[in-house]
Amino acid sequence: MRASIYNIYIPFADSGQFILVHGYTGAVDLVSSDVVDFLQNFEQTNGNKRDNSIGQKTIETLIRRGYLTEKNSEEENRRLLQIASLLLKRYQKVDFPEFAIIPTYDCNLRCFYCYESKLRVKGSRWLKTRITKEQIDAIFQAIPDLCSGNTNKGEITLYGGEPLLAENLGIVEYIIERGKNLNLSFSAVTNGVDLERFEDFLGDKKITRLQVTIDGPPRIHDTRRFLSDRSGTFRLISQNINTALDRGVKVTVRINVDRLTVSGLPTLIRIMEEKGWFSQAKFWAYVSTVHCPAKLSSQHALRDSELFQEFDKIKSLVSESKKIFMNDGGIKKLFKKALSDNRFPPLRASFCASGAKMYVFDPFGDVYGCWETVGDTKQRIGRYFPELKIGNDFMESWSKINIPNLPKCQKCKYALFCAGGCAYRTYSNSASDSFCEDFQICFANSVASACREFLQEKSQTLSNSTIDRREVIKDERKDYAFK
Amino acid sequence: MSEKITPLNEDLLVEASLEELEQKLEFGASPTCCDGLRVGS
Repeated sequence: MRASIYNIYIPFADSGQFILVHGYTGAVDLVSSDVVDFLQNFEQTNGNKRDNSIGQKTIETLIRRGYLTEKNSEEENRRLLQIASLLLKRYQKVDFPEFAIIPTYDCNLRCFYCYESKLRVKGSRWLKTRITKEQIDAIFQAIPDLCSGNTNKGEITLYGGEPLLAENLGIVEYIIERGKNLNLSFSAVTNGVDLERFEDFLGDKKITRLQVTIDGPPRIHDTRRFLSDRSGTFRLISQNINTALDRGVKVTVRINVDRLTVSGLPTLIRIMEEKGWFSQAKFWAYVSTVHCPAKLSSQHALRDSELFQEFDKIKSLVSESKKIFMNDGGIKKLFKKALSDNRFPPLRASFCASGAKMYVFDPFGDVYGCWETVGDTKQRIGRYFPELKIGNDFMESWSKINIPNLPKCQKCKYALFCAGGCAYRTYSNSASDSFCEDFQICFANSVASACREFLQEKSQTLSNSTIDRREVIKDERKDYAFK
Repeated sequence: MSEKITPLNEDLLVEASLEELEQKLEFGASPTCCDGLRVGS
């Protein structure tokens, strides 16, 4: 018997307790600190100095849930690899992959940190090239071939450049019409500047979701997300968010944060509260770090773990705290859902859909496998126009950034949660085989937060059901007295 | 359940056979690229 090499220990607030997570069995437990001491002692001494201080019953629970195991480390590695390989196999069977259409690479903003700004050197003619109706027809012809199952329930994202430029009105209308025939809905990653012009395309069976970026209160936002004449956009974007919410569209505001903007967060939250956005059923906001090594010096960039600390400070300022969250890759949300469903948390073999199934169609007939590689033909994964042809050497190497193909990651206890990290950041940072940064710290924050909310809600439900039961007994007594 | 350890979930992959694993892993989230955008769903 030995302690598993995939045991993850997470301090749980100031309670002196820990959350114990197992890296491939999916077990999640609340434990006292002496259980952690016991397991760590077991690890260090290979079980030679075994004590029974935590009690036989606890030891049996640790065995049943995989924290203590008869497997040696090679057997544990093989088990993890088996799960990762099955997950990869499942991704290939995804009914409706991630699809995105780029109407044009052009944009009306000049954000200094834009990761696509390198494309501006290609010149105005290239940037303004707009996708044609023939290309749209080819995309909708290709979609069924790229899906494994039913194509009648998916969503397509409009992406750019800026997809909702006023000049794109005609082609966006055509895209939506073609999508309607297949019963598809649309989302858009937009800067929100020309959104008013697209009012008729917002709502059910058209564009149902939007992500709009705000960098801070007007004094900060307007110095970072400005038009080509350097005029600010905060007021315009705010008005357009109201328009979208009025049309019943789900709006998620992405708040970009770095050291230059972090001090403005409380003011921005106050402004958003004053606008009443957090009380709207279809509104959410999330904070995210800005990653652009070429544009943002390390002196100004925030690490994700640092943003977690800042996020803790501002969360309490939001009246509806569930309406704001950290961009943690969905870990908190998915962990909490798994606990509510009484099952193992989501495991992944590939960091995102780009390593599995994602297709971004651009105005030049090219297909990309990642949002961040668009426009660089060296990183395309195929063509869709004039003919559909997916697969090349780049796709071959890109599709290997996953756990079954990353031996170093297979030995990491976080492997099936981190999945090797962002493939694009691995490439752009010239890392050898994965991009870890401070995933462990962020994972601990997200999981602890998910467990805290899960336990609070569970205790609330129990307390409500006790009150309800008391009410029933009272009513029964009243009924009896009446009779 | 003992006092020192409180399991927060029960459906695990500890002893699942290959066949069971295949079935269990059919469900659950696929990785997505833009989780922020998807939170509202």
